[in-house]
Amino acid sequence: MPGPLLYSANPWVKWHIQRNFRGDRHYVWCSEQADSRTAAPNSLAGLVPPTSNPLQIYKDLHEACRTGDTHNSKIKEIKTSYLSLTTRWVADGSLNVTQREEIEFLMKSGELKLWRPLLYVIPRDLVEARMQSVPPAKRAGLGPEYIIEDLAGVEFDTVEFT
Amino acid sequence: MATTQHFSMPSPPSELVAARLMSRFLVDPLSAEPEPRLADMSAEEEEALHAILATLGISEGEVRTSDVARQRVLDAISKSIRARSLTPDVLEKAGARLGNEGSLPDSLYQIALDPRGPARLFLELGEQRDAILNVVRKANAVQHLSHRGDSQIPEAMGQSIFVRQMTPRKSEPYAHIAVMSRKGTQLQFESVWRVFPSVVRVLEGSTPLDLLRAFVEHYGVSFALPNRPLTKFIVQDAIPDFPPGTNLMSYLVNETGAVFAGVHDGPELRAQGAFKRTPFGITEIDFTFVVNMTRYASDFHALAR
Repeated sequence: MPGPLLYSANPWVKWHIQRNFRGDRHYVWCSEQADSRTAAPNSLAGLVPPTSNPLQIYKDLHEACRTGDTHNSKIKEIKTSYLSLTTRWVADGSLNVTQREEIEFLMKSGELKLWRPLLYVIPRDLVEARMQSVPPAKRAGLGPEYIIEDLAGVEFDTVEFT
Repeated sequence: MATTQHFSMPSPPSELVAARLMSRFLVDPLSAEPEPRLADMSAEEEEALHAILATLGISEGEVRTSDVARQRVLDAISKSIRARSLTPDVLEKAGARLGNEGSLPDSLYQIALDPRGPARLFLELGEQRDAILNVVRKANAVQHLSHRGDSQIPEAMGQSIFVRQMTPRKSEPYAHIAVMSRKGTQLQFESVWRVFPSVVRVLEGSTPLDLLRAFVEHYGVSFALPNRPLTKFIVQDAIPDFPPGTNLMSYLVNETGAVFAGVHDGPELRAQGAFKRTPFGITEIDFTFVVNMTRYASDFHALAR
């Protein structure tokens, strides 16, 4: 039986951009376990691999910030993704050119503190109707993963371990 | 006779064409067929894509089947967009804009604290440079006050108030407040204050501005600006009629006898004002107050050990 919470790990800068430039609507991939390694060994939740495991993503980003690793694959992936997304948003009129420049400034700032991880904790009952199951072909493993395209800022809490 | 063969790079696609092309490569993760959507491309998109594929040495078949090839195409389009419109100069201006608005993440601001400037008074009082910097760098709460019409007044600065909760082992906990001027990505030190709860009544849930106001209610000196009632603290007001040859600061100095620093008879007062004069002769005030430094220094030395 699924638990009452969903978890997603994201860098602070992504949260900041979505909050300030996208009307506080967040596009998140999430899992039923904060750490799939702690799920029952034979459960589906336990089959979420490290690359999609929220706690592992959190640790990976944390380590990148600690060691100054600007070439971290997750960071690079998000940077490319935002350049693509902002270009598309400008094309569809949901972002203006000035805002795109500002987002790109953040992406290129080189300040690793912006990339420190946040763990999103999402009460499932608030978003159940909007959870979309990621097709198996796009998942990193067999465990269930979900996408919520329009998670509102008030629908989740962020946790930062210091 | 020697002949010269001219090679020319294909001209980069327009930004809109690049954006459309890029959106075809941004695969919808919820799609059962995670391939780029290359059907029904416009002639411009096809031309741009073929030029990119030729430059990268990638076939259209590879683009459909290989994540790596797809990523290389995306990167090439990204570079073309960046080269066209996201130049370093444009990004620097974007950073300054965010800074002016107070929208820049705090860690991207650069802090200027000149010990010969306004900081001198506070360093002489007993504040430590690193402690002041840490109020900004490790703040528990921040409030950026925006100024209006900044593009018309190049010298205008915004104001930012940083608060750090301090819990020393051997003395009373206090809130450390740093007031900084903000211009572009620069924060310039203006003043730093300690709010001791045994002296200043602070309400639960106070904003940094509330905290500063509570501090000024206790340590401040009353003054009256032209056509305004007596007060200790002014926030976001517009004064149209300062006497000719005066501005907010000179007026406050005349009104209260405040000085920035120095020794003289009687209580030492320090005026602080964040304001700008608009092209229409109106003085827009972010906030202003005058602190009785003699009284504050007495509590500072008694409570801050």
